[in-house]
Amino acid sequence: MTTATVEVPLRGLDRGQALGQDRLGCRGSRGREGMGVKVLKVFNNNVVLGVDDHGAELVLLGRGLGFQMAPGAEIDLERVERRFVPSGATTPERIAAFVDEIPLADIELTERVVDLARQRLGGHVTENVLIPMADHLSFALRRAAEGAGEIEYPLQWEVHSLYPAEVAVAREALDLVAAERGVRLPDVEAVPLALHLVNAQFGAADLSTTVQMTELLREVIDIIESEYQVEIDEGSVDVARFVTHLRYLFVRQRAGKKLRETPEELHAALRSARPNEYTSAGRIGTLLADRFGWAVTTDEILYLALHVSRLVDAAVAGGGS
Amino acid sequence: MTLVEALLEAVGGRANVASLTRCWARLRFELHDPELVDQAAIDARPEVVIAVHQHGQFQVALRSGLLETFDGLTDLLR
Repeated sequence: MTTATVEVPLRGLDRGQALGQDRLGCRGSRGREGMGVKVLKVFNNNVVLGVDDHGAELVLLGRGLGFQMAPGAEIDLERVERRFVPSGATTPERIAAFVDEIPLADIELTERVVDLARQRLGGHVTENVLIPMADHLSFALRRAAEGAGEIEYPLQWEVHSLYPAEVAVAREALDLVAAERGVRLPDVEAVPLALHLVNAQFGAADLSTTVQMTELLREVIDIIESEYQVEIDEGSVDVARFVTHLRYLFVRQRAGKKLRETPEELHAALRSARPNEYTSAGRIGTLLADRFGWAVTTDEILYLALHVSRLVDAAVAGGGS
Repeated sequence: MTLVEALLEAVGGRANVASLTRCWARLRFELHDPELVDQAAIDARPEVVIAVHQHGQFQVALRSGLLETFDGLTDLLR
């Protein structure tokens, strides 16, 4: 499941030896035979920004790696203990500041959480999650060590009801932390971990899209409840399907992808069978278009209308109103 | 003094704030001069869970109301 094998001997590390080396999911190999990495920028004695033969940038961590090195110099890959690939909001500067200050043991712990999450949730949980999640987890451990109080996170309730699979994995991660560190983080810490896992589907380091999406899901459910005077059971299969659909809709819109066109007969059929739901779906489409500047196609509206219909039917059948 | 006002004063006033961002747990100040932070004043606020310098930022975790406080600060910094 891991993206690459560990070839780097973990010598010279003063932290984290207690963790079995075979479990250390160190990202990236030392490089293929003959592959060179040159210095682009020296952050400090131990952290260097490098560029490989393919022009890909890497942040490299290793004791003394940057000592008396100048841009253009060949990096001694034998000394590299860790490598990180910058992406999006996780800039080389951020990674460098981060790996220099965060205990290596915290990074390693987070790698195990990411591995666990990938096993449970799928391959979309990539290395992009590592730095932002390690940043969070390390800070949570620090807060716990200093006896700081609990945090009441925004959208706590929404995260629990909309992303149960991610919350379940986040709770497993808290168990892992407890087993590894003997520190039981408060259950509420599952919320931000789950958000990072949801965010993994966007491949972006910053959480803003996930936050917008979460707020939107909440609003859409509220709209349906008030338009149809029903109460929607957040734990139901229909809500889970709808949430999954909206999550993929977000991914599609951000990637500029469109659904395959559906035949006009289907639109006509649904419009005549469920006119109210079709109209509601149109309103949701307008909300999406206004808020995010998206062009929401009629094919998207059709699918939304189907989901709205299912939610309304389920709520009525369940005696919600 | 409101929390927003107190925070802004304790980080050295708006002139000292190079930028302000947030994540899900923390306000993240980038300050021109981190030395100007009045740590005691921040720690004295009951709303503050912890406030630390790390990753070149001054990070403040709040017990609750992170988004509102962030918005309040953003308004004052405008």
